[in-house]
Amino acid sequence: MSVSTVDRAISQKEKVRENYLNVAHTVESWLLTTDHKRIAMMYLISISFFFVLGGIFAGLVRLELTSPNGKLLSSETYNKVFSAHGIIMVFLFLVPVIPASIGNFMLPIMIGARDLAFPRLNLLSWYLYMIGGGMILASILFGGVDTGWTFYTPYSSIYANGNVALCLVGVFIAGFSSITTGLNFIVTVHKMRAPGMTWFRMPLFIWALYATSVIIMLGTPVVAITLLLVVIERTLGFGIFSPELGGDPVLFQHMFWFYSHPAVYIMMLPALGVINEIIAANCKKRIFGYEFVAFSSIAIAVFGFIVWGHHMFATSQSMYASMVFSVISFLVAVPSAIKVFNWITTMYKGSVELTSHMLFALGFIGLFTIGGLTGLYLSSIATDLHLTATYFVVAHFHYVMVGGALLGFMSGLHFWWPKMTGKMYNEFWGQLTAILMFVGFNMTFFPQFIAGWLGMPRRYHFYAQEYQVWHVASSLGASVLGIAFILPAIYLTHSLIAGKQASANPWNAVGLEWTIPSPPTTFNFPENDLPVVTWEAYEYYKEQHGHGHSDELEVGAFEWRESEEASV
Amino acid sequence: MSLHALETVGVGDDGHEEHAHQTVSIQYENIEQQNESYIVGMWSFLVTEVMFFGALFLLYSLYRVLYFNAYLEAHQFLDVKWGTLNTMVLLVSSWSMVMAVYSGQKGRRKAVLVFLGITQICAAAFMGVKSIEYSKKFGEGLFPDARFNYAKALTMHHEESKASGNVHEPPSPRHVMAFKALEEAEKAPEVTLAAPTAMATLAGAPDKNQIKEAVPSAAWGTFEHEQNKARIFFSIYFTMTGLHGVHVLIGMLLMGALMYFYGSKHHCVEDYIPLELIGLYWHFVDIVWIFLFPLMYLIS
Repeated sequence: MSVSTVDRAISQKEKVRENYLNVAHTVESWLLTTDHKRIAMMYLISISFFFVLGGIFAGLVRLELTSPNGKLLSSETYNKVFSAHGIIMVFLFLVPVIPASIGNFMLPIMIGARDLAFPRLNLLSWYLYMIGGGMILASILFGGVDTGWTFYTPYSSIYANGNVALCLVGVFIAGFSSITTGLNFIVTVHKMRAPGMTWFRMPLFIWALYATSVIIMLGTPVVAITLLLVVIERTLGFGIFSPELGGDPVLFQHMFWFYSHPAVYIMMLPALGVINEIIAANCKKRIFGYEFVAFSSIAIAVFGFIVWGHHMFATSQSMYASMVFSVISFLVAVPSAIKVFNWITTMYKGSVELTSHMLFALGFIGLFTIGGLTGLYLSSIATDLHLTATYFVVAHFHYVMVGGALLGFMSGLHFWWPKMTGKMYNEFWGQLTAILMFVGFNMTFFPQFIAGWLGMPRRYHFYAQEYQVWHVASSLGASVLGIAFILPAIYLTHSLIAGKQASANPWNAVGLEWTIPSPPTTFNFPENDLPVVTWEAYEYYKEQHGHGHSDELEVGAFEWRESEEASV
Repeated sequence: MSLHALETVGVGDDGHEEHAHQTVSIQYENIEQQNESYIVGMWSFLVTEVMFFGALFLLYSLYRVLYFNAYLEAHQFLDVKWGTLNTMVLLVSSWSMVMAVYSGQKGRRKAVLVFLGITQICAAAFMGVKSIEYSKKFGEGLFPDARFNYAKALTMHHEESKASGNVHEPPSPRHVMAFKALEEAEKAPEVTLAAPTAMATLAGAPDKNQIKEAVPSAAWGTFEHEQNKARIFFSIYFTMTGLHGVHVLIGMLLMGALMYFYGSKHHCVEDYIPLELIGLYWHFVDIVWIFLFPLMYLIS
């Protein structure tokens, strides 16, 4: 009898624990799922697909610019290639990347909820993204769009050839996918927090996602209607932005940047949030000045809405308006700097572990700082007039968006990969990639600062001989960067097949997501038993605290509502 | 803090007992949390709607400041009688929606159906009036696409008011300018139109280019300049009322679904939350019209 019980125990132990990945295997179980984790994984795959596509277009641009005479592509094709790169990367990669994949996966878990507030809306969001992405893809396949990602009128509304209308409708629909995600996040954060998870006990990543969702909700409808007006103007001939008909094309720019400047923070804030988690986990310290970092996210969201005019210093915008926009743009540096200083202070005298995700995070801080400081050059009117529409601007926003958002994403992906997939990747290759990406990134974009400062205009196909050296340098760097992007595709995929099984808490981090098994079960926490949060975020200083020790927890030692059960 | 947490749980569990007959989705702890989430979600959605229409109101205001006279003149083509009727219709629909939600809260299924029916009829009447107005605009050449024909609309309007003896409204300066342009066209030697008077022909002319050929270039230039401003007014008018109309249609679909569910005693309408949510949406649609009506029809 005793032998048989032992056998049974062994066989049960060997039996694979049910989790959200192996609970069902059919195609419908994925395509009709309402599980936020499965939707996040579908988002991750589709976003990666569009990232590869956008990356290929970027590669074409870099290859073309090695020669000042444009030998590879015709000028029209070149315009279409850089437009495709911009449109795909901004609307289909950078905006959704962290919120829709990592955020979707982690937000309910980190606040102790079983799912987002509206799981079906979440699925709808993915379908909207795919439809929008499909339309943008179709517009590129059927001849392309040569307006650039900014769709400035009247070029986009009247003169541009190609499938501008189709592409704009695609962006419009993709916009609704981020609105639905944002709405879901806002309601979830407001209403679904676990008992005891007060606002100031939330991880800072959640604060960042919340601020992002607010921007999405307030900004995206404006750009949606603006782009819709361009579509109407293009197809029906209404004259709202057309100067021929007395319309104001600069008005389009105002309305476009009213969204698209905050959109920069839609891309940045989640990355800034991710970095908090990484730094706290790798320094085993509470983030210095938690409240300040939390409110700096909100401050960035607020300031982000009143600086759009700095994109239009070189237009008919009134000088006084420009001055106001310039001053407020400088102010954005304050909350951004608060974050950077607080991270550095957190690391100070911490036991910093240089894991791959920490290396990505450190790279992020460096690149974000450079990107942010060069932003100050551009927010001061006098230098901006010199630098408007040069490669300096291109380098600046790549430092912020690629150096910031993308490295933030890579950092978060490496940090939560064991939780999301249940597999460990090869740490050596992760570290190598982080270093390679940092080096390759700087090799690609630092020369562009110099070329831009010397006067190389952006979006030019042919350019003066003197800039060639910078372009060649940049293209060389791009190939290093390209390798740094191919590597994770290999070792992360490899980890799925042959990776070591991840424990519940491989990094010894705190936070609700590390108290549940990896990968999590379908509803994250056992039925009718949400955790009761009695601790602050990043409570690393209490070593004996139960929730930090994962291996016991995997058996099921949650912090249950014991007191409540006792009272019942 | 943990005490507070336990309190919350306690309250929640009580609520759960109370509403045991209602379906709570797995992600929620209890029915209160679920209902509150729905309400917060709907309000958040309405915030995006406010921003959506807000951008259009911004466009409207900006061009109103820039081209006030053109607005003043162009708005007279909008029929205040129809506009007032539609406002009344929507106000009634708002009232019946309130009554529907109230009946829903009291659990009176039949009353909900009746009041939703009234709201539906009002919405349909609104769309009917809108389509009469739209087709009139199309007929007058006021749809602001490439065939926009302001001269035709002005002429028709002038002749209509002459025929009805309604002369208390003197022609505006732009009116006069348009007529001058047209008169010059009449006198001009190169006019080759077959009709006895150019004005009559122009009124019937579908093609702007025909008029353009008929009118001397300088006068036409001035006129076209003015006409374009009116075209912007009508661009904004059609965009805003069109999008509002789309929202009304969506509201009708939602109410239709709701009526079907109430009619078939579907379990999803066992509580009043779906009705409440659609009610909120419907009131938003009404409020947009309450702003649109004076801004479009009552410019002075």
